[in-house]
Amino acid sequence: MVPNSGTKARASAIKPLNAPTQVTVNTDERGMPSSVSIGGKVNEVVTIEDMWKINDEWWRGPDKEIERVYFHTRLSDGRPVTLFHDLAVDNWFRQ
Amino acid sequence: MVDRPTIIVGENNTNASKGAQSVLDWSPELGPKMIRGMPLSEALAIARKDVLLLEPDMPLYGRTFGEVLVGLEARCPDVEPDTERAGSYGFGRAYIGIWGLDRLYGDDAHVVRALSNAVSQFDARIGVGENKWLAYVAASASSSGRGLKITGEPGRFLMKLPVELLPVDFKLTTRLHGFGLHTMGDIAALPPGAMQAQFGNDGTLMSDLSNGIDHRPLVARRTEEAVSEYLEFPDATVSMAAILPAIESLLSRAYAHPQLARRYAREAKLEATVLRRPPWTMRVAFKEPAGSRTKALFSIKAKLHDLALPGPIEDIRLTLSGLTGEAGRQESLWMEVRRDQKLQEAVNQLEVRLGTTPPVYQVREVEPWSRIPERRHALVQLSP
Repeated sequence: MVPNSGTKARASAIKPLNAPTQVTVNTDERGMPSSVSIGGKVNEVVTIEDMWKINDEWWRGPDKEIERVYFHTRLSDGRPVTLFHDLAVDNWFRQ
Repeated sequence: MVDRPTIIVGENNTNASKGAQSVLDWSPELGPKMIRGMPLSEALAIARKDVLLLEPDMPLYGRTFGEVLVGLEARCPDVEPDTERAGSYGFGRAYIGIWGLDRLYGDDAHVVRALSNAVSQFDARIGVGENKWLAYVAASASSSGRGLKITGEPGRFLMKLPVELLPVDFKLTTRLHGFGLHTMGDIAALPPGAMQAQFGNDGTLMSDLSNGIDHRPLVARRTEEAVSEYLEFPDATVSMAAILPAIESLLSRAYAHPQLARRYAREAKLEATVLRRPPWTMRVAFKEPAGSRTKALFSIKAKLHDLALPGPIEDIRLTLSGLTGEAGRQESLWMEVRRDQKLQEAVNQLEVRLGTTPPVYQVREVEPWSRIPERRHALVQLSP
């Protein structure tokens, strides 16, 4: 059974779906993710199955530019996880 | 019980002393010192006798009073039960609009006689006044089976009556005595502003009533169609294995009633006499009107499942009410439309239960072409 969070049920108009969450990622010497910390547990990245780069909205200026390098990875426990490195703020996210 | 003084005790519903045991009614030999709403401890101190305490049987009072109202309505169409106090001790009080009845029965004395005949099995007291309050006070001052009419200046009639007649909490009446206000005349002598300053809204009400002012309109009750069935158990039982078949049997009898033929009921009420405990009542509002024994039983079972009976029950009465006028239900040819309606009903149901807009969303495409994943879809509030 899901425990009661104690928060009041409410509905706002729009909720983003698939929003990125920040994670801690260790990288190897080439800048590729080698391990990722999810829920306080460090998982080793076994393979990187795909990799691509997004560069968008550069016309809105350096503060609002979106520059991400995506990695479709598989962890040691077999889970597929999509991570990206936000080059604009130099942080790692899971999506 | 005949020669024994008796007090009917119930829970006080007033805000000031909610939940406390108080006096609802008493036998005449206990005298005029008893006051409705008085705490039980004070009542026992006054009685100083071997008093028998009884729990009220509200379902029985409700049924009996319902029969009285039907009898009164046969003689006069405008009958209003005093619902303001029905939860505590308002049973037995009704207001009747007698305008125009003189053409049917003759003068007021004949009208009073006709109404008195309608409730001949009870100790009826009838009062005639220009408003509800004056009629009530006149009835309180009249004698058994007789009527009393207030004519002339109402203030003169009210001035010597005790403040205990005012429809306020017992504690407030005690405070009035503390201020030396023992009769309605004492209150009427004060300016309304002073009463309001001391007692708030209750002060205004008491001031108005003591001056014979009551602007409440007479609202005749709407008669509601209902089908009722009753069953007595051979032995008192708490076992659902015995109670559920009994309810099923009552439902079969109710749905076989010509009044319910090809019609639906919106609500079921179960009433039971509990061994050595106050009667038990349960209401079941059907999510969709129930047109058959099976559907009604399903909802009743679901509610009974979460409930513990207060004790072994001796009998059970089932009343189906909120009867619809329809003889069938219109189903939609297009299943998708029907599905949306069901979804909307579920959302409405949740909204009532949660008391706020339920957090039910659906996935909608926002910018499906976007290269940024979180911008492609969003959760938007469900509006079927």
